[in-house]
Amino acid sequence: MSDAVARIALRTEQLKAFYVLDAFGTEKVVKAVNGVDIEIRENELYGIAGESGCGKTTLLKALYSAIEPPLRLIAGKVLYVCDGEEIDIYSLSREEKRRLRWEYVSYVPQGSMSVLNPVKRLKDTYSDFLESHVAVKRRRDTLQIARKHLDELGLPPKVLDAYPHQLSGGMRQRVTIALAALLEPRIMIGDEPTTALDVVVQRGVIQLLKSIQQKLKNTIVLVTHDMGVHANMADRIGIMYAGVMIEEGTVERIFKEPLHPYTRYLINSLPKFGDKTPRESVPGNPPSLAELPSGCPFHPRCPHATDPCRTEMPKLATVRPDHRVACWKAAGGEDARAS
Amino acid sequence: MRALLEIRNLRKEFAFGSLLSRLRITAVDDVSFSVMPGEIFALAGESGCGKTTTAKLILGFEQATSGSIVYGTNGSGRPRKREQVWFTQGVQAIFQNPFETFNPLRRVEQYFFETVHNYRLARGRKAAEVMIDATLKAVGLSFREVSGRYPSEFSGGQLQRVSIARALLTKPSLLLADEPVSMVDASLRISIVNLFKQLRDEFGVSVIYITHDLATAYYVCDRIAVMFRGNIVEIGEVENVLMSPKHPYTKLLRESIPEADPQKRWDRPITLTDIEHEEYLRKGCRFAGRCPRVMAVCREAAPRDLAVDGVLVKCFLYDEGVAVEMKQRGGSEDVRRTVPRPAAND
Amino acid sequence: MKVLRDLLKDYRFAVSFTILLLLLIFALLSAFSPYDPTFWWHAVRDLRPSWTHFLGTNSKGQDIFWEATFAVRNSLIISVIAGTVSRVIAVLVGMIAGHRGGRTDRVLMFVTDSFLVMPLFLIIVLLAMLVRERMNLVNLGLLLAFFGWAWDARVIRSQILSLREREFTRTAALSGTKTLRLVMKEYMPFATPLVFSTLINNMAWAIGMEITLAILGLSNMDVPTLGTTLQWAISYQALLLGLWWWLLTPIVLAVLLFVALYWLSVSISEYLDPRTRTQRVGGR
Repeated sequence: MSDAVARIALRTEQLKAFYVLDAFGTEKVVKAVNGVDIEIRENELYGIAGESGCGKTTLLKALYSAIEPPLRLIAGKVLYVCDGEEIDIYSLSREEKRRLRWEYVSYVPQGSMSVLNPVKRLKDTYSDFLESHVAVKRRRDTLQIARKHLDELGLPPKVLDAYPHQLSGGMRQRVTIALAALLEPRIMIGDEPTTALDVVVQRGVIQLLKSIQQKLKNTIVLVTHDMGVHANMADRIGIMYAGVMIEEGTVERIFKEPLHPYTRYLINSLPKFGDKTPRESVPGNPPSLAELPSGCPFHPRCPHATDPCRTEMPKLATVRPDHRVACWKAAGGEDARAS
Repeated sequence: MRALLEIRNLRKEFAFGSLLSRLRITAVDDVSFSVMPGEIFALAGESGCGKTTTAKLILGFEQATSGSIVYGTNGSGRPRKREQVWFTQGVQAIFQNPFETFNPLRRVEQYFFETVHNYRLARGRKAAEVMIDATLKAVGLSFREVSGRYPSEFSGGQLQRVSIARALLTKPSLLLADEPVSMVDASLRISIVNLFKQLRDEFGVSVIYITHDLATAYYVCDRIAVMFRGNIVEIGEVENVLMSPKHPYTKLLRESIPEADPQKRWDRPITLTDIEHEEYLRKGCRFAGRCPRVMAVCREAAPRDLAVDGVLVKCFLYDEGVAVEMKQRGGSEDVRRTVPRPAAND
Repeated sequence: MKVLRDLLKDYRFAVSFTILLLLLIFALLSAFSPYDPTFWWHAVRDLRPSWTHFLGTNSKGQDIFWEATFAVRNSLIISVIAGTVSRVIAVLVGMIAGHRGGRTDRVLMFVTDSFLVMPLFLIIVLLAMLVRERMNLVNLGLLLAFFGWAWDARVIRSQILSLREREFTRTAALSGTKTLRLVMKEYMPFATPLVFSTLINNMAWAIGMEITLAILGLSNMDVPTLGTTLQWAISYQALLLGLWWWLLTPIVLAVLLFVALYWLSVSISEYLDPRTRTQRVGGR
């Protein structure tokens, strides 16, 4: 995956998206995505990690162009690379966006029930889906396509005859993922698809995502706070904290040699089997996105904080091949090259 | 040493449906275990295994269909009135979602003052404040930080600590923690779990840790009981049960945990069930439908608890009587399937 | 207070609050009325509005302005009595049924549902006809209260039912709080917005019912209320005779009252809605 000339599928430029809330005269601005620059490559599984309230879900929404008030796009761009051309999705018309969605980029939400119509059998949902995007002559054709698709992914085609509530939670989630992959999109974006699922079921879902990626050779962007899932799935991981990307690298690097103090704490605090030695978690509390500290957002909790940390926000700079960090200390204390 | 809590043959049935068709689900089926003073005991399993129902039974929020719950300090059988459990037995609980644990429209300190008042722990507001402050300090907070604030003003990790502090106010000997860290951020989980260790070591509080996260269970617990569809399938020291699992379900569970190590990725595909409630209604072993080492006898009869290497396992694989019978029938009827491809019938 | 200031930022509350305040002052002016409202012929009939008679006079020889102060006062009294008494009944029934469940719940809901399906209007008309002679303000208020609690009892009960399942109920139980205190302290903050908005709606309904009863001739016509003054105007053919000041006064006052009550109810219940409240009480 560390192909020097790896092609980019999707990238952002200084993306900023804030929630502007106004209740009874007081305004509150939540800086959920505060200047994010990432490049996601083709044929890779990119994981976005971070805790609740770090902005990763908002980042996903911005990537998918699902921005609705009170969320507003303040600055920056989201560019998709389609057939060699860069397209700014926020400049597209509604119809163009609609076609882009599901065919080029699809979205897997956290709860499967928000995608599946509870009063329709799955085969009807699949058929409607296909019909609205692909020209097919007969209903039977759509069913055939759906059946073949499920079979290839290792799911029992008989579930098509069922209603969503008749299936177990895990099966529903997998069916939703299969639906998202139906039109063979080049990019799939998943928002915590395995959270709230049982461990064994979670494994099945992850298995499914991996087999889809291997089959379609597309890009999957997965957001989850579960580092174990990232370890098992991702090729590269980006760690988000307080609205900014603070570290990004291959999965081996992030787990074996994390550079940012926050990532270090995070990796060290993960319990491992066979090891009962006492562990420590990150000191302090995560900041509120409405009242961010000055400079580096981690500095109030960082044991290595020095002067530049308190005043200036470090840029995400390449420190090693395929490994970027936003930290004054990790980057050598000087102005590092911008990525 | 006398057990703090002893559960014997606990059983809870729920009935669904109308007058015409009633479905009976045994959420907790013949569960027995005991908790010693000064130990952290894990009740682990996936959703629907019965661990939360067991918790409700222990706390007295539900009444058991049969079986007994004996609390060490007073030795009574099934609690007759709920209040007995909290007032006289020194049992307290904390729950999964700290934001639901407290009323969002009330200040959190009010629960503290109410506890002090109802359990007659201190006289006068000043004395109460001192006591509350001391308890909060034990969890890493202080009264000044907490006073006057509503639940929404705290982070998940902080609020869970507040919840623990409230439970500690009555100096319980047993703390029931129902998924205490599943809604807390990964980076803060260890600090809450470390707190349980501290409570055990410094104050001798026992904790029943209910979870589906085996990794933290391994880290913090002394003994563990793995539950599957209402049964305890394996119970013993956590090192034993999780590092060398005997029951096929424990093995599956242990293997399915995504480890935070990119070198240890899964290599084999697994099979999942489609319809869950069928598993509750099976005759015989409830795991038979998914078990990679299922035998004919597993579908006929329910296995009993067998002692193997210091743990109790509910599995015919370790039943010598069955093994002998297998040999006598000539050749193994052990249908040793390899991990099956997800077939249409399962 | 801070609450009032927050509320006043909402234009609906500000306007309705002002209107109601003015109407209240208007009603209080009745204490200073130079005329007794039950007497006729103390002024020249059918005079147009002028400086001596601000809103003119009616065909009974009464000053309309001072009549109106009594009318507003009495209507408000009726509606306040109706509203508060029915709230009390609704809250009691709703909370007991919601919390106890089981047989108590079923019995109470049976009674509530019976009240709901009864043809309220016909029964009120019937009762009003029967007790017309002894109908005074308080009695009318109580009569309306007796029929106005059923719907809201159900609403409060559903609220309690959903609250019972929430985890903080268990926390309160674990803190040793007994049932009654639990219901009062934990559930009331959720029930309060319901109680408030239904109170105001109920008051508006009561005023409307009173006017209707008066138009049907079922009220005690000697007591000036918005309904009775309107009914007098109609029966004296005020429209045909062009005595618009007589007809318009109760109508305009009633409309103002309705609109103000409605806006008040809407803005208060939005303010008290637990969902927006939690957003306001915290920093996060």
